[in-house]
Amino acid sequence: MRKSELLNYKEKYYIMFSKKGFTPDLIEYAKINKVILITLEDIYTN
Amino acid sequence: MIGRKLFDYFIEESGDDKTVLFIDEFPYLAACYPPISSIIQKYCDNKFLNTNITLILCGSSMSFMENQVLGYKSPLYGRIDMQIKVEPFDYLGSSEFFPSLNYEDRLLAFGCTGGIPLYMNKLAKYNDINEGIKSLFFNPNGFLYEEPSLLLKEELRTPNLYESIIEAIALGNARLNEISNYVKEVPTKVSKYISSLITLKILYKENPIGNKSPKKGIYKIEDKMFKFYYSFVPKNNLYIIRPSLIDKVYDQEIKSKFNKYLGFIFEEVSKQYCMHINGTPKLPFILKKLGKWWVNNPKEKDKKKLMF
Repeated sequence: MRKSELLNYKEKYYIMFSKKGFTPDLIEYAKINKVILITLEDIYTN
Repeated sequence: MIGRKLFDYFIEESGDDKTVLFIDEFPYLAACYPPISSIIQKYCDNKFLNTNITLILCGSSMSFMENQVLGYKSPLYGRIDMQIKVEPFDYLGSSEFFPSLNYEDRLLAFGCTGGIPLYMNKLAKYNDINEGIKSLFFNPNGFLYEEPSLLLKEELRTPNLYESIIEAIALGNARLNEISNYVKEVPTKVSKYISSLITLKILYKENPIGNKSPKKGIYKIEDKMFKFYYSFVPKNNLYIIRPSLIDKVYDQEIKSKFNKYLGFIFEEVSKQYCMHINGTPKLPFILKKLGKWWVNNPKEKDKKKLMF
């Protein structure tokens, strides 16, 4: 996310991918921020 | 003569009925019987005109199909109504070949076959994916052990340097000077060879998104079966030719490196997924462009590359 400070856009979303899944903290964080979490299972089933 | 007899027979038999004449492996037919293209040209210009025959010519040699069928020097130039390049399956289509595998193994199956149905069918015959990969790639008699070399020989006259270039890129050399150093040839020569491999869709050049400067681009392997093969097979050749060793080396060394390789495949699959859900409620925006972006970090003196 620190890297994205180089991009000067007002509205930014993050899509994060993980083969193994995400920690409960990150899942909570994603709910209230512009973060979309996608797991390997999502990729194959949704 | 054979061609004319065959086509006359078809015209007579089909009458006014809608008929499809499908010739598979056309490049091999043309190699055995070179006049076939001119004969087809004459039929397209005359006898086929008043029939309901659709002629389909099929072939996997891209250079032949593009130059000697579609090319302007071909007798068939300008006589083709439709051309279809049959693409490999994407990760979702590939997944259906392996219903019994878990998702991570399906990713590996896609990553080593590149979504080519023939290769997927061969791999799907094994209950255990590692047994399948070992038998197909890491075995002197395996179906895929020599496949990339054979494909290159089919398309190109001097495959050796091409193979070295692909291997260089598979091992992480991405810029022209790095590849030239690895293969020990001058960049001008390597650049020409790379262009041919890009035409064959084995390689591609990736630029930071929004930056089309040719100097910024890096070379990557587009064909995933080639990428898998040149990442793992040539450097383990010594073990492959000794079956007693390969089992041990595969389990202890090769397999543990798949995870890094899968990172690259997962990145590709993630891009395909983003396009798949683009325009659906799953994304709160519509993607116009999708790609990697990298830049010299202006905040650090060493100009470390930032990859996104």
